[in-house]
Amino acid sequence: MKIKKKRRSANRRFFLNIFALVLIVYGIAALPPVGVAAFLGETAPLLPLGIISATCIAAGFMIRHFTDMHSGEVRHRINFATTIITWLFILFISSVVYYFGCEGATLADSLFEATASLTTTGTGDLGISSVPVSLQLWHSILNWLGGAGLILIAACYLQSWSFSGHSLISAELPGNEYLQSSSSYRITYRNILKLYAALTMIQFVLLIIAGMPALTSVMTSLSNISTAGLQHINNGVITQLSMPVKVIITLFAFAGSLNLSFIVLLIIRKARSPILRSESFNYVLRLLIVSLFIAAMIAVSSRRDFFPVLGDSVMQTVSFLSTSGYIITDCVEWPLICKITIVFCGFIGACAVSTGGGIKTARVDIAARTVSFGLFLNIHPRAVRTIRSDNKFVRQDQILSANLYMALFMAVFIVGAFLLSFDIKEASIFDALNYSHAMITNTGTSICEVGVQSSAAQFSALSKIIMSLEMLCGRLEIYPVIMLFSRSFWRSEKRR
Amino acid sequence: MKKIILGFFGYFLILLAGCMTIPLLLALVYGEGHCARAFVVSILIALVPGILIRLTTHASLSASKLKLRYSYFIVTASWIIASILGALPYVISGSIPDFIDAVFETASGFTTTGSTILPDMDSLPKSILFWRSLTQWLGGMGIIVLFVALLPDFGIKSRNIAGAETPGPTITKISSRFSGTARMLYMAYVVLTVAEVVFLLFGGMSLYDAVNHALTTMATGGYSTHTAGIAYFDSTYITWVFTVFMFLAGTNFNLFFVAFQSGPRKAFSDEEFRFYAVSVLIAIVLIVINLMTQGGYDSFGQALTDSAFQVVTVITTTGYATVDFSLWPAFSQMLLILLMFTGASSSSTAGGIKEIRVLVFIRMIKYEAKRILHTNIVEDIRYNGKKMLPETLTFILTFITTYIITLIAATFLLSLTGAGNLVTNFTAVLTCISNVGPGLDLVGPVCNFSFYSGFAKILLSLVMIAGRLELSTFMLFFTSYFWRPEKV
Repeated sequence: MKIKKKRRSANRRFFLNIFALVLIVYGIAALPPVGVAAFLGETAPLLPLGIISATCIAAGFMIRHFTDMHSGEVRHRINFATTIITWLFILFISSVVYYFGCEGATLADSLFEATASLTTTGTGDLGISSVPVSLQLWHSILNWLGGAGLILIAACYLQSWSFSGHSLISAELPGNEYLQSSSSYRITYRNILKLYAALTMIQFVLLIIAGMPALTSVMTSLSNISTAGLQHINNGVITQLSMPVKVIITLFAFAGSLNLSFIVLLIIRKARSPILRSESFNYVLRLLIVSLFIAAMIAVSSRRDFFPVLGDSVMQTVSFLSTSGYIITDCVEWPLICKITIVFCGFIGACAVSTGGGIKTARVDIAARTVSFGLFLNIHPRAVRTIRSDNKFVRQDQILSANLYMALFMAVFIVGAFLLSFDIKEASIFDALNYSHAMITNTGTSICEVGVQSSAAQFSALSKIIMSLEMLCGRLEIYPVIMLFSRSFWRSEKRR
Repeated sequence: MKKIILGFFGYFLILLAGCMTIPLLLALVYGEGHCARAFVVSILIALVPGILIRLTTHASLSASKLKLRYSYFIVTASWIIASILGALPYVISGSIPDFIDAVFETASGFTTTGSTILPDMDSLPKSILFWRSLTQWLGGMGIIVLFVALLPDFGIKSRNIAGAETPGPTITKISSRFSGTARMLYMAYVVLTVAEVVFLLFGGMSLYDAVNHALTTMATGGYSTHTAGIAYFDSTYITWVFTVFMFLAGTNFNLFFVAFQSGPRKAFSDEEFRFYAVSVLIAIVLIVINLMTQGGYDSFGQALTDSAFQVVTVITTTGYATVDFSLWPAFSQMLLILLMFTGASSSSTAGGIKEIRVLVFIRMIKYEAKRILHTNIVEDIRYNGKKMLPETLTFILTFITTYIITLIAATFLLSLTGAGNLVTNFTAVLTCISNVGPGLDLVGPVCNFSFYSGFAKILLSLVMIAGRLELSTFMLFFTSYFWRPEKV
């Protein structure tokens, strides 16, 4: 009984420790929009932003002050519970800001917008480009926080990692099993965060040089590196921007979708696998093949010059492969096959340990090799053979996990469309598949009408909650959301 | 080795020619002279090379010496040959003048898909329509299974060959010899077909229609002798007879023997069957509610009949139509799409992923979620009380991954032709890979596949065969391992 009580107390302390830190990070992150709202005299968002910011900082410090922060090691279940409860709480308070800050926003709209912001899904119901500037900045900051991961940012600056910080962050970091590290996890995560911040800064400077206004550059940098879809510029349709700006946006969306842990190792010259065998190289290869194919199809069908079309094709393909989902070219006019190709890119998604969504390149590669391996076993049933990825042997459990995740991703896509279809009275199943794809891949752009940013206005509050769950599934890699509905997750150790 | 394979094809051609004699007799009975000529020519085209091969090779027909990869070759090649030779009566009789269209129709028949390029069935000769139905019945239980059932001397490796075309991950042995199992499976198949004919005759259907529809129902094929499909009969009784027999055809055939030997309770305790039955019931209830609330149905009875029929016809991958379900609310359409994915039971005549794989997939997700939460957990994934081996789990997952990749790749290739739209092309491929029949939008229940180009029809025919042969048997053809076995 005593041990049980002790464990419960340790679990509670652990949760409060992380939760308080996230609140402090969140509260501090809300300060720049508060300043902008005060400076520009935007009274509607000023109050909710100010109150939320002050309350979070105060609550965070109070919890840390009154709670013993030494919790020791906790079980995985508590790590997952911490991640999902913290995310849900942050989503809720972010939606409160939208609810009070945007005129005419319902609670469901606000929740949907907050989820889209934090999960870096380039969609929304409130029309971010037309809300007050302070809220646009807030939206971009949420994108940035969500891209990196709230828990990761908070946990990197904890004094002690005796609570097995890696398992805590693994619940939040996309494709964590493909993390590449040369030193401790703590240093690796910190390096990833530093790289993320550095890329944001460099992008900001380049955008300023390219002639973009300072505030827009800040928002673009924050939103683009997190592959969130640049909702603050014409709701993600950025065809009107100058070519240098488009090139910068493309380069940094691409950088954000690479395996950041591998890039860190490359920078510090400790990469163990050759570049040509890395996941990131496969990603670049895929990008080139898709871009060349699309450019060829457009050039043939509309009799245009190949090379200018190739540029457009590369830029739009980066948008979808990185799951940013912004519209940077006239892709509405593209042939059907090009639209379908680019939509499939959204399913594959970016590299593991990046800010992008989708199934992830590493998993798709392993799944493809498993198919080939399965066929091989049909002919040589007793053969012993291994699958290699990123120049390493893939363990049997990793093979199963990668295949299972791919199948699960598609199952969530279809089941999500099925649940959304109940709400569609006038429209066809196009819309259901459309929105389900946009949400689960975190691209936020519709399937059948690539080039037309999706608006969830036609859906009921229940459907918006379903879509929000789908976005969370895409961002947190499904399992944490499944666990929310699992008995095993909620039942105590003894009862289980 | 080559002699054995050639010898097999010799017998196979003779068997195919033998099957064509049944519609030939019907053509003679109905006085369809041009069709009789078409069948005679087709029979000769199949029979003469068949006999010549047998006479020249002199090889004993034993699969015992066959390597595994040749088994796959025999199965895939047999299905392609059957699809090409089976198209001859359509082309020669002029019922389907275009050869590619005819191959599509035959492949759709043998694979029990039921997709058609024919706009009007009522005007076609009866013998041709019967051949269409017969191709489905032959393909339903499997051409090679029939071969093994008829030729018990085929040897111990016949199980490998038949296994390559049997739907589902396992073949349960009912008899000590596989040829005995094959014979018993066909016996159950014949008994159920005859029983359905009797029930349909009670509903006032003509003998010709009853036989044709019984052949296509038990094969979960979905070809009808009328353009309007089952709606032509406008009878609730007939609709329910179809519903019940389609459900039975979607059940694991081995369970009929289990029920016969150990009582129905034992059969009902099968986890796959329970999952299949519960899926059907839930889908029916959801669609009834949806039709009554959003679909404009006033009568509960009509909603129940239509939803039960459509749910069973889609989950068993039969693909008949009593109503145009592409006009139903989006929720019902999406539910039917979900069922197209799942399909019915293994070792039935249905296509799709199969309930057993879906069931194990759900258990694997549960296990994976537990494994993530509790890293040191040691727990088995069980099916029917037995532990599932890691290799079996890998094969099941590999199948699902292959299914998804094939679906996406074929949709992509189909879209290259520029025809249709995304939903049309996606559901066309889905319906072909799962061997259902109709899709949605331009390939809906009241439409057909005639607008697709020749390339698209060949592609869809190959997708049907791939789906019918459980993907890997067919896919092996395109791997270097198959053509260069020494490459390891």
